[in-house]
Amino acid sequence: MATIHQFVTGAMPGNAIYNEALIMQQALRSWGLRSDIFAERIHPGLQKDVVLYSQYHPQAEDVLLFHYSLGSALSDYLLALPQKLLLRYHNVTPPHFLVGANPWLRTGAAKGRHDLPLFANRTALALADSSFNEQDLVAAGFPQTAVLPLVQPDELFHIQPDSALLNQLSDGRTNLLFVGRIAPNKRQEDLLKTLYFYRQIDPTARLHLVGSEDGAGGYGRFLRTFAQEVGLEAQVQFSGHVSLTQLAAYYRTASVYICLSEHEGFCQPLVESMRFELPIIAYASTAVPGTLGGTGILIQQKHYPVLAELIHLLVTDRAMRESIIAGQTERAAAFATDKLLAEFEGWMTAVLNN
Amino acid sequence: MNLDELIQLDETRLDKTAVLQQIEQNLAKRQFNHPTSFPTFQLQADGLANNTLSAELRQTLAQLNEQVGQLWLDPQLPPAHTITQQFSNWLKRPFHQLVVFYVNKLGEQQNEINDQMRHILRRLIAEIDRPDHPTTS
Repeated sequence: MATIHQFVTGAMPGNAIYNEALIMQQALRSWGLRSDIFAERIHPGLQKDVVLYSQYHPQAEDVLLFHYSLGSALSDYLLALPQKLLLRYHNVTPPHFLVGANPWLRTGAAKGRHDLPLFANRTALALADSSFNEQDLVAAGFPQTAVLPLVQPDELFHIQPDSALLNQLSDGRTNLLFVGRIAPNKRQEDLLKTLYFYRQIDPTARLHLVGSEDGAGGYGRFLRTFAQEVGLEAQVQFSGHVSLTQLAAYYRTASVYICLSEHEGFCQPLVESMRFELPIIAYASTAVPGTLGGTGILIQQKHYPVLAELIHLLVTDRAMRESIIAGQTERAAAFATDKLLAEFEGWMTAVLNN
Repeated sequence: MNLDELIQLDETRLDKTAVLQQIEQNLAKRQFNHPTSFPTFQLQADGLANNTLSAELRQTLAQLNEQVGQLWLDPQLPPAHTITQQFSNWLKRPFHQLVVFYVNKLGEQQNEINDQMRHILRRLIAEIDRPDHPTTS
């Protein structure tokens, strides 16, 4: 039986890279292949599903699919193995964005950036999850690259939202939403600045920062101090890590999704917002324009009064809101799980036949 | 500010000119209260300007830079050469991994504290190292 094992740095519930590995594993197994997931860091809740990479017993004919997002002992280990290697490139946050955040992440990011070219000649195929990410691979000298957008499970879009949270958030106030871990590259402080201006138009507005603070280091504390200093501490909610049902409730009750991040390799919450029919305003950085594909509203500079006016239009102008949502809904079809898994199957078949 | 360059939207579905006009009108009538400045997050480590530090102190700082954030345990079980040892490791492994996971969680918090201390130390040294600082001779 042919084997494609996957390796991820961290296996944590709700993590987009782990979610992708899981859905790929299910697909690989359904196609009759043997496939396990190995990781360097495993959440206790996932110990039955994921194996420590040090317990992997290499077999000559194995194909290894490495989800690359950080440099670590795992990347050194895989680099030294002779098996056929495939790289799934999720991008590596430039380390300068992580100064003041978690030192482990920062060191891993620096190593990840530094080591990427070392994989170029070791890799049979490198699959980037966006065209923006593919540019990194080409620059690093990878001979065979392709783009396969991030594959994510559909469960979030069919699940019943957390009813208590749904009621709590449906109180008539305007909810602005951002989903993503608390991290300096995601520039959550710029969302606070936007809220500061937008509340001068709509004093009921509040901002939900939905995402884990693991690894945020001093940045999470900075954001809270920021909110206090500009008088927004009661209007900004830091949710921390949330369950799928809670996440669905945030999407269902939000008025506008706003992303002012300065570094994204793909930005899955944009796709989620499209699927939840939530109009998007985003700063045109890195992979964001590619993921939006001409839909939503892109801004080239962070001009906060203009951002506030744009939010105001999306909240009050029904026709404009519906036009934006219609475009986004069409765009979301490009990221349908079945379609992406069919593309993935094509790539894996080609690798196994070569 | 050129709104046309600043904002991109799907012009096959929306009248961009009308949207921009609406924004301009709203901006003109609105009196936004601007703060003098917003707090900023210190992204870059402070550089040491004056080179008055001893080589030894520079070396110590460089070592600290390399070591901070290295608090991390890899799960380790004894090598298993017999079936009994393999079975024993199989039994121990989940508990072992559980302990290591939470110890590393603590380690990560300690890493962050260490990183903060290193940052403060660098700032203090940079301050002392300034040419106009009274202690700099």
